[in-house]
Order: sequence, then structure tokens, then C-alpha cells
Amino acid sequence: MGAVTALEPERSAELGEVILKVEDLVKYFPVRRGLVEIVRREPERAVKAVDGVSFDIKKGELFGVVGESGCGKTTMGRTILRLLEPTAGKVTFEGIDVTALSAEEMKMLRQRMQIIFQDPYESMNPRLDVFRIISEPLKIQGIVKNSHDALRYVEKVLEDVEMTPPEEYIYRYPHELSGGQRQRIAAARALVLDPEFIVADEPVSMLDVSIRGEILNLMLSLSRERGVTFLYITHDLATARHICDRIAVMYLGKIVEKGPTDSLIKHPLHPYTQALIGAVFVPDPKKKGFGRVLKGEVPSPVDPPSGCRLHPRCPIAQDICKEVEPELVPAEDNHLVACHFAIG
Amino acid sequence: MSKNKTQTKIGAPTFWEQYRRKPLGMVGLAIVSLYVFVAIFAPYLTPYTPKEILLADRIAAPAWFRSILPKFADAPSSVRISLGSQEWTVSEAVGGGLAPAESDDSPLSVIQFEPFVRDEVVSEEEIDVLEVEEYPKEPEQGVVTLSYTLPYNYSAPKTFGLTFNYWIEAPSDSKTELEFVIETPEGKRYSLWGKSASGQLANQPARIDSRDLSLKQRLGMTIFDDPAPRIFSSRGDYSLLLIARTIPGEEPTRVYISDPEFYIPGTVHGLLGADHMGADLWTQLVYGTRISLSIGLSAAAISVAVGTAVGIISGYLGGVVDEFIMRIVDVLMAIPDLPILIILGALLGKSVWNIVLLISAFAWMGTARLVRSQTLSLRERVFVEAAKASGASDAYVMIIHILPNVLPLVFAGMVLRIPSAILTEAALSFLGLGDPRVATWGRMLHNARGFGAFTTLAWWWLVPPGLAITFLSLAFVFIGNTVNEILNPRYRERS
Repeated sequence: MGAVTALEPERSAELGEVILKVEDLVKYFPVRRGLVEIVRREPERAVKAVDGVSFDIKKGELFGVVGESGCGKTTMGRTILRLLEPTAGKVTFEGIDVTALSAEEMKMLRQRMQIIFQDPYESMNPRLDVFRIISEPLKIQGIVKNSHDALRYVEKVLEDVEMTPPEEYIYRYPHELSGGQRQRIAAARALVLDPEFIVADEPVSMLDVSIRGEILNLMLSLSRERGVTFLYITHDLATARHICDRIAVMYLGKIVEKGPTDSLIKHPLHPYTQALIGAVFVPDPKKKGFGRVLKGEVPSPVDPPSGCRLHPRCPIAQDICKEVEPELVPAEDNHLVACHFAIG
Repeated sequence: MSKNKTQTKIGAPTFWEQYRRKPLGMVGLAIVSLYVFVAIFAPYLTPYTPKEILLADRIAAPAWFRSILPKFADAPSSVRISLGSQEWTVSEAVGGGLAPAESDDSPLSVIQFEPFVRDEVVSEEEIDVLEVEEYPKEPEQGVVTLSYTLPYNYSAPKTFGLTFNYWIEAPSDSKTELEFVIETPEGKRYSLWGKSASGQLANQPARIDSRDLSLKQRLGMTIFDDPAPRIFSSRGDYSLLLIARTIPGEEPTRVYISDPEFYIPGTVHGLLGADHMGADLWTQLVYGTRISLSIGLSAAAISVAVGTAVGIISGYLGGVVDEFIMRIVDVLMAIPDLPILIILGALLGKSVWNIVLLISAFAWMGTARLVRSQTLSLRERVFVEAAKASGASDAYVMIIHILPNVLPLVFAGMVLRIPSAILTEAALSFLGLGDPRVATWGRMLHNARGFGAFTTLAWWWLVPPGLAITFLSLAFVFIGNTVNEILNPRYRERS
């Protein structure tokens, strides 16, 4: 991650007003019941992927959401963009209530909110070439009338993502590109509409370590130079630490800790955050082991534990944790934590 | 990810390169090309059209049987002679003759008799001079015989016939008689037809057929006798004689004979013989290729198009729509095809397009299910979500992203559906529900069954359409399986 570290910005960048406000966002996926269950009137069950998440992101900010696989972070990202309909809660983008928009209004708004997907091998139709992949949003949004007009946009955005010269790549098919190139194309597709806000859903997790830095640098420079706001979803605390201004940690559909990157990494308050940080590899031969490791598996989101959701795995859990769900409360400046026994 | 790799092979050159290496696929392609060639060049491959009948005797054997089967060694092939004015020779002419023809190949022959000239009522003094002359004479009968020499060197035919039109322009006091006679090489004469008239006679047809009861009676035969073998029992030069006799009136008498055609239907005919109507079987086979190919292709295309559309809509929209469509599919699949096709075919009427639509109507469900299942997986792919994130509508996603990705699956399915459509059509035609105006292989088999090919063991009528269906179906199966192997390698084990 040398390249990234070198570019590490001063985190005290002055950030503007709130661009995205998420309030009590809930997304449940109903579990299909069998006939017997319906007849026996068993209650409907649901996978509680996102269960009451609130946060806000300021203009130009790089906001990281970190969590294990299955904690609901990807679902949250998609629900914010209404690629999934939220079960409850409210998402406000620049004062517009996203959850209340009609399909037509939502289509207009999509020009301003885009997403970069995790898997660059899956996120492109193998039957379309780079030009058609990137120009697709332009055509859908009616920004260009024909391919000739689109060419200008596509060439410019390819330069923006450092795919130069554009002519070399423009008529290639996804399978003719490397993973890193594909992810740049994916970024170009999101950027071609010149959005203000981008959800980056694990954009580097499928890439070789050697090319992760390029994509992360690209995000950083877009954020710093063009003022694009990012919601960076990742399971990798290390990359989040390097580029994010603030980080939120999710566990089983809930945010357990949220704060400025420095404060959160250096003084993790929640046992879960501490375990995550402990699990990060450190290139130090003297350091052995992974610090404090949580026991057991992540419980099923269909039937999450009562009280604090971490309590079956938590090393410091007490009786209260089984019964009372801790609130996300400020512990330090801007640093919030949801734990009865938050330790500094 | 391996999925991606296989899908990228679809570019046209790579597909062909792979296809080229599959022997069965190439055999299939060669056979289908041959059929397509036959279908396209059908009019050049046969001198007849499927609608021409009476080209030969009923259930005539193929002509090449003469050289391999002693039974057919000197069987007659069809003799059909148009007797225009140039063909006739005048073998007897009293008081008249054949009028000069308007052109060399005029089908119209005009026999003209001189008028009977009563001595004119001359002036008084001349009567005196001619007092001793005989007076007045009765008109003499004029006779004109037109003859045509027909060399006949085959075994006896089963039938023969002559058709022509005739009319007579004559004064009312004349009497005219027409007669048609065949003279055998031995000199025996058979008078087959006669007509006498006084004065004018308007245009009317003469139809002489050796199977007519009146003709047998005229020859003094019983109804069980067969004149044709008896008349044409020996070999040599037969004479066809058309005899006109008249007792002339005061105006010239003209007998017009138009378009006479003498016809001995052959008991051997063409490449594949003839059917019960004397229509050429090779012609039916060749033109049947057209119908079978077009029915197969169009029914497969329609059913696959419908199945694809339904499958994509059902799979992509999901929910209640999906449930509803899939239950309809289940019901339609549970209905046995053939009985319902027979009923609907009988209700809707026999036309080729009805049959195509009926076959398509009961063949799209398999494709719909296949496409639906593929769509269910495709709609969860990230590139679909990416399009939606750009604001794409459902229709856009279905057409731009889902459709191209189900096409390879559908294409192989379509090729495999062609033979079943061809077979269904053949089955319906065989059961008599095909279009009776159109020659199809099924119809040939239907006729063969219905008009005695089985009882007379006319295998040349039965086997060719059967083989044609078999090989065409087989060829499409070869192609379909090969295409499936290349485009949808996950199905490889199955083929």
C-alpha cells in the first residue's frame, strides 16, 4: 500500500454540508415460508440485513463502512441507491427524500448517485464493448442522442480513469482487459454521468493487491480534486484506514462504532472494532498472532441475538448485554460507540 | 468466471472454427445444405409441378425399373401426342381434304369438303343443248381420313385416351359423320368413337377413355373387359384414324378438330414413379422439401420467439406474473400435443399457415421454461444491477442485457425444434389434416396409405418421403447438438 500511504491526505480537510443523510434505514428480506409453516400460522421471518442504520456524509467526504461478510453493508449501499427498496427509514440526498421518489424522478436522480461494484468480472455484460458499457448510462439518461456524441464523453472519462490512450481500449470487450483495467472501466461508467455521490462497493476486493492501490488512488484523487463524495464499503479495515475520512463499523445490520478514521483506528472503543483491528496483518515479524480474536461464528441475521448483538461472542459481555441493546452514543468528539462497556 | 470465458467464444469466426471441427455437425450441415439446395432449385430439378396430374398411370413405377426388373422390362412410359394439323397425314380424300394450316404448329385441323353443285338452272337455249345430259345427280359421299402412325413397342398399357374439341360448319342439308378408329399392326380396326350430325354443330369436347363403359359396349365387350390391353396387345405401328364422312350440301362443309391429344399413361414414369392421380412423385418429394423446410423453420422460429419473450418476461418480472405464466406453461405442457392438434386442425381448417401456428402454439413452453430459468440467474447478475443503477427501465434491461445472453441457449434449442416441427407437420398431414393443395412429405405418405401403396407394395411411393423426413430431422439434430456443445458447454454431457 505504499502508493496510497504516500498520497495520504491531511484528514482535517474542511468538509462542507451534509450531502447524504441516512435515518433508521431498515432492509429486511422476507424468508419464504413453506405451506406447512403458513398453515401452522408460524410468524413470517425475515433476514434482517440492515436493521436501523443512521449516519450522514458530508460533501466531498470519503466515508467508509467496514464489516464482515454478511453484516449488511452491501445491502445498505444498494438500499441507499434504491436498487433495493428499503423496508423502513429515510434517505435524504441534498434535501431530496430518495425513498419517496417516483420511478421517473429516481431515474433523474441516478445521474447524481452512482455505484461501483465489487466484481469487475461480473459487473459488465460480456457481450458489450467498452464504448457501449460506458456510454450506456448516457444513453439511458438521454444525455446523448447518438454514438457520435457519446464518443466525446467516453474518451474524456477514459482519460479521467487513466486509461490512455482511449482509442486503445474503447472497442475492447471486457474479457480482453485485466482486472484492474476492468475496475477502471467500471469506475468510468459510474463517472461518465459526473455524479456527486458514488457508492464504492468493495471496489478492490476482487483485485490483486498490486493493483488495489491504483484504484484506491483513483478514488482519492476523484474525491480530492473533483469533490466527489464516496461511500466506501469494504471488509478491509486497512484500505479504509488509508483513504477514508470517517469510518463506520457494522455488525449484523447495525453500526456499532463510528468516528474519524484516526480516532477509530487508534482508539477503538467497541470490542468488535478492536477485534477487527487486531485481525489486520501487520508486516512486523516480531508481532505474533492476531491479538484478541472473537470466538464463534456470526449469528444468523434471521434471528439475531437479543440485547447487544455481539454478546454471544463478546469477551467482555455481562448480563446486561443479553437484555438491553446499547445505543450508539458519543464517546469522544464525533466518535460514537454502541457498547455498555466501551473501553478506551 | 468460467462462465464468462465460455461466453466470450461466441464471436462469429471462433464459433465457426469450433463448429468446423465437429464431424457430425458438418454432416448435418451438408445434409441440410443439400435440402436447401433442392428446395430453392425445385423448379429446375423437375420438369413438372406438383399440381400436374395424369402424367402416368396410377401408381406407376419408376422408369429405371425397366433396366433392373424383368417385370418392367418393356413397360410403357407415358405416350402423349398432340395431333396438330402437321401430324396428320391424309390417307383417303374423296370430295375434300385437309385445309392448309394457318401455321406449322397449329393445333387446329380443318377438314374441308367441296359443296355439292347442282347443275345451275341455265338459260333456256342451253337447256336445249344439254338436253341429253343426266340430270340431276344425287350428291356423292365425301370421305376424308386423317391418320397418324403410332409405333408402339411396349407391353400392353392399362388404359389410353383421346381428347379433342370439334365443331362443324356445314349447310343445313348436309350430313356429317365423325369416327375415331385404331388400326392394329395386324390390320384389325377398332372403332372407338363416332358422332353424326346434320348441318351445323357447335364446339364440343370429345373424351375417349378406354375405361368408359360406353366404349366397351361399342366394342362389344363386357364391363369387366379391358379394351386397352386387348387393342394394344401387339407391337408395331398402330394407326390412329380420324375419319370424316359427309353428304355435302350446297355450301362447303368444314369439320374443325382442335387440340387433339392421344394419351397412353405409362406404367413406369420418371425418377420415382407416379401416385394414384398420375402425379409425379419425384416432383412431390422435391417440392415437399420446400414446404417441410419452411414449416420447420417458421414453426421453430415462431415458437422460439414466443418462448423467449414469455420466458424473459416471466423470469425477469417474477412474482405473480411469473407464477401465472408458469402455471399456464404447466397446463399446456400437460396437454398431449397430437390429440389437441388434431382437434384444432380439424376446427381451424387445413392451411399450411394454420398448421404452422398450431405447431408453434404447442411448442413454445419448453423454450419459455429454459429461458425463464436462465433469466432468473441473469437478472441477478451485477451488470443488470449496474444498468438499473443508471436508470434503465425493465424493457431496456430485458432487451439489451438479458436477451443477448439467452440467445445462444435459444439458438441451439431452435435448431433442435425444427425436426420436431417437421415431424408434427408430417404426422398431421399423414392423418389427413394437412393442406390438401400442398405437396408435403406427410401428405405423400397419407396418399400412399390411402390409395393403395401398401396393398400394391409400391415401396417407391412410401420410402422416399420417409427417408427424406428421417434424414432432414437427423441433420437438424446433429447441428443442434453441435451448436449446443459449442455455445452451451454445460449441456455437453447430455448430447
